[in-house]
Amino acid sequence: MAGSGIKPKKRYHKSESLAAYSMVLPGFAGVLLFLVLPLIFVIGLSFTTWDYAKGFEGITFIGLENYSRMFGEGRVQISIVNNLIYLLSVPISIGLAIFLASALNRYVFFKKGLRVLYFLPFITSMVATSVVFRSLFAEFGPINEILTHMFGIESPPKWFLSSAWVMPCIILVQVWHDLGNSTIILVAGMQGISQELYEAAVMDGASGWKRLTKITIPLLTPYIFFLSIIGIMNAFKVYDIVKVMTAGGPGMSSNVLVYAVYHYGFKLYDMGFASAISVLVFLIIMVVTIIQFIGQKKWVNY
Amino acid sequence: MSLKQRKLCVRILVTAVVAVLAFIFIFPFLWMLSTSFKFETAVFDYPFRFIPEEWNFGTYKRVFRDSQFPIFYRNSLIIAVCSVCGNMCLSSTAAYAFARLRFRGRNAIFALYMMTLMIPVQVLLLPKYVIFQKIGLYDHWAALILPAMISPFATFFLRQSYMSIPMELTEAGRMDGAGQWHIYLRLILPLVKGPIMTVAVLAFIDSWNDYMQPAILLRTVTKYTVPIGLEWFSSSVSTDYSQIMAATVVSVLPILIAFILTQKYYIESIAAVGVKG
Repeated sequence: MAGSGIKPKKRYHKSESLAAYSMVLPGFAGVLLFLVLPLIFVIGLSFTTWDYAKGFEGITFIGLENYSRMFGEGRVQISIVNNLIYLLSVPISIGLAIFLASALNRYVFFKKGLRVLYFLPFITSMVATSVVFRSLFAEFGPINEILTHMFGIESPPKWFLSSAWVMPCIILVQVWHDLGNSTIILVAGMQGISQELYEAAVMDGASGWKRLTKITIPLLTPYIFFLSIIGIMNAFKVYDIVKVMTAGGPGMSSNVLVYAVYHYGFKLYDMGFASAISVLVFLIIMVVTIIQFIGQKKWVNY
Repeated sequence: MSLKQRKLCVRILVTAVVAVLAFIFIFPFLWMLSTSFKFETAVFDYPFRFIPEEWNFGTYKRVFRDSQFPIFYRNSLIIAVCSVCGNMCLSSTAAYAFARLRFRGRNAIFALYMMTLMIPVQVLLLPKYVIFQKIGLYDHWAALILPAMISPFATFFLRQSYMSIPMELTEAGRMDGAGQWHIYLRLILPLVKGPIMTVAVLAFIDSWNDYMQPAILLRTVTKYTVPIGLEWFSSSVSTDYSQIMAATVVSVLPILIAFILTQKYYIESIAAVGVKG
């Protein structure tokens, strides 16, 4: 298109420009002030070490030292591993959501009521969710009571107090919290699939499973892709649930990257190092966004 | 068995499975509600009773009378309403200009907006904390409200809605001699009420449930919002689960009820935003 000569000459009307600037600039100033400036600031800080009590004079430039330190720091390594484990919540949640959405969309009575039920967790705050699940998984809480009395398990796990079980528990709570949202989005997607496709498939004698794998899932790819991207991003941004439910514990076993930012930044006031971890999170999200951008062109046609 | 009967059977079976799953999903809410009415000693009784043997209303009395929950509520409400109103004003005007007005630098500014979409709040937490401490916004609601007024997402979403309105409408307004602001406020804005409500509801829930930012940016208990108030309260009564659950019920019930009343609208908006977002 460039240089083709068809492009109309750009002319800006004075009154139109004036109105436009008065509409855009307040928001744009906010974007610069509250999004761009803090981002530049945190990137800058990641190359420094800061004696926080001394104010701005306490900042010293140390180059990439914070980044090289990251590889040796146990807490950061555990955090990265846990963020990766957290990714497991994505396929679990999407798999369940596909089952539920196809059930809710076609086979089920009271679908509206059930849809609301499944959605309730999503609008419950993470703090409330965490507080409730902490008591459900308590040592003598209902889940362990059921395990001991109904299944005869004598010493049930200590869940959030056990370093082996803490991550699976957190993932479970996350799935509980998000499932309704994924389901609603998939139901919306399914409503766009023509019924005739299914009718034709039935005529050809395709089984329910075949219809799911050959029609529903392929046509839902854009939605599944979208949910995966959101899920992957959330897996690297997770913080609330960890902070409230386990405070990163027991020991360091449920630390995640954003929790590490909290630990170094707001507990130890090691602002430089915490900034470097923040930047790492940002870089990961940026890579996922780029993947989304490329993938969207390939799979998503709005 | 005829095909019809078989279909009915499948439907009943799947409904049963989905209903059992739904029960598991709803169990935490039932547990929360019933525990909140129990006495502390009866909380972990087995078998679990949904209806308490002895009712205890003291937990709620304590939440309402002896705790700061009414204040937390007021705080959350003020913060959420201010954030949402500010956000809607700034985002809808900017979105309108991006969608329907021509001005120098439009594409560049819009590209920057789009790039800021991928900055997670988690990454900005630390620099915001430092900056707000230096400029005296720390421990003020403004530290939460001002950044929440800026939403590239809402701007992007509303821009899409504005673009779907035919340009002829603007032309007609101009023929009648209406000014730019007049065209925007009187002709176009009323047509995007729906999308604006959608982003407003989403922004409200975001603000209401936000935990990380108020936890870091506020220090004075009387300025706390509901989520950090709940955390603070539950750690102050340690393992008195019936008391904690009463506070949790109080903190989530209004928004759950508001949701159930408006669910049709809300669920549709989630689906719409999810697809386009």
